Amino acid sequence: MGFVALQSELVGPALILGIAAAGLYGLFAVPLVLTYQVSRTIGFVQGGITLFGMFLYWRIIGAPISISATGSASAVEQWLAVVVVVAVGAAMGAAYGWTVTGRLANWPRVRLTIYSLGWLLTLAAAVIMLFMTQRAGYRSGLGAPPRVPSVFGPRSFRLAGVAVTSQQIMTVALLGVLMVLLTAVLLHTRVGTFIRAIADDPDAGRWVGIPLNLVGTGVYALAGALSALAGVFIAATIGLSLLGVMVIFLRSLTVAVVGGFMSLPLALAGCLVLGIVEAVFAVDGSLSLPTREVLLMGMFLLVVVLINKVRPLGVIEAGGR
Amino acid sequence: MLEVRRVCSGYPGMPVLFDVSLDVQAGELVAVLGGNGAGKSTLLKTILGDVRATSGEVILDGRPVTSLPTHRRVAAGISYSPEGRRIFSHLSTRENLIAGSYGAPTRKLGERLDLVYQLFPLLGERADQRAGSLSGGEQQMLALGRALMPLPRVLMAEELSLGLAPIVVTHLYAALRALCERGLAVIVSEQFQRLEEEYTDRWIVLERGTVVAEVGGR
Repeated sequence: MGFVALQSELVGPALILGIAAAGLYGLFAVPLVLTYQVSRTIGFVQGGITLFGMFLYWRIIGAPISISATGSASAVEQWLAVVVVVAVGAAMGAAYGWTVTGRLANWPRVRLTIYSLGWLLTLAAAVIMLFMTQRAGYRSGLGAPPRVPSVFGPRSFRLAGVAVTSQQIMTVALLGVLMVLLTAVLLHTRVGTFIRAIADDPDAGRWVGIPLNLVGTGVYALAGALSALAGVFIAATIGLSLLGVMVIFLRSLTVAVVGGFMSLPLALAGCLVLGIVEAVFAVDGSLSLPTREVLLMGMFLLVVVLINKVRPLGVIEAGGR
Repeated sequence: MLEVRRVCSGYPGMPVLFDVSLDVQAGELVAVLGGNGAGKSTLLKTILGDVRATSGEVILDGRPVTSLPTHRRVAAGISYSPEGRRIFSHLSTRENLIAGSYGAPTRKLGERLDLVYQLFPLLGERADQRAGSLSGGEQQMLALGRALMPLPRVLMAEELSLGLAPIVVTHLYAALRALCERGLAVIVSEQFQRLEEEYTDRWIVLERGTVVAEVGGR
């Protein structure tokens, strides 16, 4: 096989795996785009909320750490845990949003971005301190990171010859529903108009009477809830891996750049491209992991450079927000 | 209707206004004149609540609003059309107007849009056009229309004539005059005295943050 010349019978599996991976990236990209719109800062804090949500879910359901990901919690208990985790994520997002769109709203954007990064690191440290201890039941070791049971059950299906779990299917389905709902809200409701107005010109938004703090807090609460839910989904897909979450999060940041952090459709298209290219490399199998990573990120850097050449002000115009 | 009593305000480490007083009655059009750095913009933003008054009071209909945040002052009846129009360029004309309607009941939205379209029929024709593609005059109409959406009692328009053809400026001032006839109090800030004499009732002149002259108009 030539350099990533995929055989026709492998196209289907690469597509399926790519779409499944895009689902995880998308769960991060959506909160990143939403929070950027109301605060013009990169929401590193969302990664911290995901980590916290992931480990909180694991603690609540009291799942034993196991590679097979079978837990003792019933389906009802698992769903209740999801509700609690999403509520905690929303509260964390709201608290953060209240400060950055309120008292700290006049801070320079760079300082706010560092503030957000600080919260990611603080929450990661809190996760290590509170959950990743022997006392909490966490046992680290070599090998694949331990997974927690999926709220959608352990069932898997074969699509184009690839085993796809119900968790992966539901992740993509949820992302699709979110995309449709959020687009509808942003484009066809008054609240959506207020959010897009703030995204366009926050000062003018304030001058015409939109309470930035209230709208911003609401958006951050939604983003926090989605980030925490992403933690539950990631825990069931790749396991309780702090590093794994960081890798997915940083990749989502890369694809959010494609949409200028302002366009949900472009960010999700970026997720899809990233997921599929990644899956093509994986299915092809002729390249080593480090080479794949270098090629993948190199490709995205090239895309960002090209976008900058075509539209120096970003791709907001193309986003059709 | 609106009273500014001995207000001092400015930015951290940079006081701009010193003991500025101003009052505007319903149906009156008052111009605030002054060159660059005179404090016109700071005065309007202090009335709006975007710049904090360090002393003095802003009173609307006999009630102090000095401690209210901007969005609550807008809801109370103070509206602002900023310098450079600052329309939401990626939103349509209609969406720009809707953005100015926070707090208005949804069932009243159509009524308010019609009110703006009656005053500026061009905006109705361009309702679905992206605001960024409107001409300078149309953008200024949009900025004024957006400021009218909360049904204000006091409308403040900053540098209304800046960069516009005289015929457009005349049209805009005529529209403001028509609004005054309906009982709206209007404050415009301008760098130079042009049409103000014809359309305004009074004007005050600011220099280095203090009122140096107050003159009756028409």
